Amino acid sequence: MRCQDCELLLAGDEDALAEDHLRDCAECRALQKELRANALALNSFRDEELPSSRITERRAVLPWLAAAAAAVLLVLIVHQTSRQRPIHPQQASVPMTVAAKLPPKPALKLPVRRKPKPASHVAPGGQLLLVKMLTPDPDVVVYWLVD
Amino acid sequence: MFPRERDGGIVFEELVAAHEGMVLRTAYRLLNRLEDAQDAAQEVFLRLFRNLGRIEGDPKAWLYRVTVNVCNDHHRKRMQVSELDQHRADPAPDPEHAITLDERKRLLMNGLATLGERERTCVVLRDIEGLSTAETAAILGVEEGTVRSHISVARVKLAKYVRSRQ
Repeated sequence: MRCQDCELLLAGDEDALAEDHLRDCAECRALQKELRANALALNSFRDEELPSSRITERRAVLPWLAAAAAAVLLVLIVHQTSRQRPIHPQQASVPMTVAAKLPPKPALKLPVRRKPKPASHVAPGGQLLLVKMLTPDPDVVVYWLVD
Repeated sequence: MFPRERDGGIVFEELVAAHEGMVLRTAYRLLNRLEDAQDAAQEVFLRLFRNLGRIEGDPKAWLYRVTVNVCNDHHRKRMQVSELDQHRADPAPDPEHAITLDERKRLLMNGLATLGERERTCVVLRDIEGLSTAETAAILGVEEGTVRSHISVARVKLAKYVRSRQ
């Protein structure tokens, strides 16, 4: 019998068929010993504790991650929206700024300016008074023309 | 055919609870890395959920089969990286050194990764999970003789692998 044939018999749990060869072959006896030790070790894997609950934990983490991602997205959207909101006053301020530099025209007067004002609010010389209002947003400045 | 629900209870939850350990353990032996095994186990149960109404016979055999398929897909994807890891993991052989059970188990886990797909699967199902040759053959969809052949070759390879690293 060749060692190659003996190896397969030993590995197939048919040691009895290889007895004669084993008696004369130290190499195959060593392999037989190794196979038996491996069989015990492989069997012992079955009794090993694995953190099986971690599959459940991993699944439980996923909804939290999704919720956290949704919250971050919501905050970003709200922040973006709040930054975009002051654009309208800023756009409105452009003609008002231009109007301040031009000679006063009745067409440019806003309804608010038609309200009767106390004399103390009228600029000296009867000219328009330009009020510059700063806002928390550095990109937004409100100009207000006062009679 | 396996019902999706039974008496108002969710069969899926029962199957997960009953077989979660088995699926994770098998996946871990096939992949040799817990994180990969957890991913594979999730994939297995996702497939179970999708196919619950179509599973015929013993769901345990179905789960074994799907676990083996999912793990083999995982293994193929990271084969090259794994080979590099093994070269780093095993120290040089020491002829005077008699290995402990823990060392042998570690070498066997690394040795499993060097086996062919079918050989590795046969060893995990037959020698680690303790399934019979017939059960292993049914799961893999092959003849019992094929399983016996794979097992014999794999055991010899593992024995030589361990010996060469003692």
